[in-house]
Amino acid sequence: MSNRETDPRASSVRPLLEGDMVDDRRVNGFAWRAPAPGQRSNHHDDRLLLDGDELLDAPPDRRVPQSAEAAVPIAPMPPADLPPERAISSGFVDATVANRVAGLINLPGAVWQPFIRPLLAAVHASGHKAWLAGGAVRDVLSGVPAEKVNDLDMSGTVPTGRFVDMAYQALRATGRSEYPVRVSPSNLICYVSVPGLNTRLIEYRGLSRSGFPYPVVGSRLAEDARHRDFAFNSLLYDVLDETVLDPSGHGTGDLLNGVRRFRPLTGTTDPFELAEVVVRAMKFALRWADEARLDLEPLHRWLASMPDDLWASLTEMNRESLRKARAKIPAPPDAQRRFAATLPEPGRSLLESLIGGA
Amino acid sequence: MAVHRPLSSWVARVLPNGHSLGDVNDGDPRTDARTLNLFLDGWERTAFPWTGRAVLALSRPADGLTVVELDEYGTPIATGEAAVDLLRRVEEAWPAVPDEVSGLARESLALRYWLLERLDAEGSPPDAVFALLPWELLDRAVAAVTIALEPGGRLGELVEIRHWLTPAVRGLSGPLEQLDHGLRTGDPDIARQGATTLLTNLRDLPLSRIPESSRRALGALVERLGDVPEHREIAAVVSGRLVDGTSAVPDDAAALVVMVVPASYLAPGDNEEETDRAKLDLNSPELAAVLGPRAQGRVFRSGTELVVTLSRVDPAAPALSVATGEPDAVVVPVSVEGRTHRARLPWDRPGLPERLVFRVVTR
Repeated sequence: MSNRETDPRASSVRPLLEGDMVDDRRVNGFAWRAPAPGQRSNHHDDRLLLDGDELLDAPPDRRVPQSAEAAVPIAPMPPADLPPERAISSGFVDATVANRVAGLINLPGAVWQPFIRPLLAAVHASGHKAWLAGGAVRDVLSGVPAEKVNDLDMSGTVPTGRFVDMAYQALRATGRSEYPVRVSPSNLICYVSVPGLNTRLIEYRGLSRSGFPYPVVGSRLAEDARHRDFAFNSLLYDVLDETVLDPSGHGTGDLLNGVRRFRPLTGTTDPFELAEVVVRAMKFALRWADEARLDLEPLHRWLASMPDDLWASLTEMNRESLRKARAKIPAPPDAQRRFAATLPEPGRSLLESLIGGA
Repeated sequence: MAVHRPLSSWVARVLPNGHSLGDVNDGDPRTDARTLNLFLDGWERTAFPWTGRAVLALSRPADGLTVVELDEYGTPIATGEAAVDLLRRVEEAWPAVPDEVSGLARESLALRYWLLERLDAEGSPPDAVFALLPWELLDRAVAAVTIALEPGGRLGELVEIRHWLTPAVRGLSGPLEQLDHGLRTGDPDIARQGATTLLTNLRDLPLSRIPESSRRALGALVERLGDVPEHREIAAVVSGRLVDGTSAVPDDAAALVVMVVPASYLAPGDNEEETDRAKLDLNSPELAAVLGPRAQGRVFRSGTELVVTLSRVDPAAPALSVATGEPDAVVVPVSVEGRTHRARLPWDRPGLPERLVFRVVTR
């Protein structure tokens, strides 16, 4: 089945997706291996995972075909994997959303402005999908001016190495090939940053996929949502189709229905990732304190389900990273202390230890 | 100041089993390991044996903790014992640069890149040190484009320079690769944009860190670009500059172009807001001749303004004005406030401008 049978504007190329069949085996996801030192990553570094590969200690040495030509393409192309009501035409959310997103993408002087359109075009030409994700979508939907958005998070169906290739070609075409494109091997996030800095401008991750002893990306939006911190941060936006994607089914409601609801989604058990969620909860709660009513009850229930000794395994580096993230929250320490005092354990003690005598 | 700190912004700890590594920055790739207080004291430069070779590492004798340094794809940076010994001496002299640093010329791209990036951020390394960078990539890319621009010429090899030369100069390889991309894909708009930006930047940027052989190669390319009428005038100016990259004579006596280096990483321990604060690159001889050799500059956003400050300016420096490099930029006088020179520019865009243009005010 080609993309065009379900979407007349889609590329004629149908890429391989998780859920397709190759040689009677189900495609289970896509892994990535770093290239040789000094070489740039590209699609040759992506690894195709089939049923059973989750039992291996490391990804098999099996490359990813660039299309589904030799496969049985039975997987739905996202967002067709979601119930229809979770892919919402932007006009139904707010008549101005499409214009505001276009304003963000085309913002004069923004560091991403020259190359984000060529990048999206390259993704489209490959048959893959890429969406705005995370903070940029949350901010635009909640009315934050485009000038206040510092970077763009993206997600999509493009495997890691192929995305690096597309990003580099877009940077090259726009005179920005000096911008480093990096990949963190532990979570397959691709970072595009300004040369000389560690400041990210674009952050891309394929759709999250669990169940492997090594990092893997897949092709299902609903599973990806289970790896996001809060429902209001799990929203995505399709720039080409002007569609808001709400894979959890709660994101738009938790953000836009008058009460901002802090509904944790993450299924991680990693103490540092959980601690990051707590710090981010404080950031959003203090940021929104004067502009909306907040419902922190789901966060409180989530925290209360955690073991009291959760933070014992945080490393020195973890604690310093968290202290820095805490210090960047634009609210005075007293306000932060007051917020911390409202949380059940182990959230309260974590924040109190990070705030310290600040 | 600690002597031995990470060169790379990514590190991974060696796990207690001794042969596997933890996640990038213990799970936080967004942080910059070079700025962590964790590394302020008590670390030694070491080589760590990993998968049959030595990789760049730091160890803390007090508790046996070891971290290895990672490249842009999270791979440990390969090195050797001799290079680590040499690097140890370089770090002990930091930020002065001993002559023997040239002994690192055969080390991995990642090691040389991260070393020079941190040296550039924290000191004033001599131009010759930047010869450690892979200029052969620039030379090969320039040759491919120059040949393609000759009558009947065809593009040669595709060379990806990426970020490897940016510790020395920013704004050079990006437009060169754009020009190459435009020629290679048959897109005259992209090629023209690359050529124009390349010539503009070669007119404005300090060139003294570019080795002479590479400047000569660039000179041949610029001459070829000057065959196009729209580039003829600027190409003539740039050709003159490339002959002597250390020239103290400004090409445009009225304008002193300063590149803005937007920095989350200004110095170790710096905890500034990431995208709204930057330093000014005042290293060119032209600027030193006007502001004095010790001048330092900063710029940050404050609401809808850019605040530009200069410190350690030569007391005999002339009056200045400043503007952003945007076409519609407002020119503002730089006022002297005690020991600080300051100007406030209107700025309602996100981030920071790429460059500021200072001019000597004629009385």
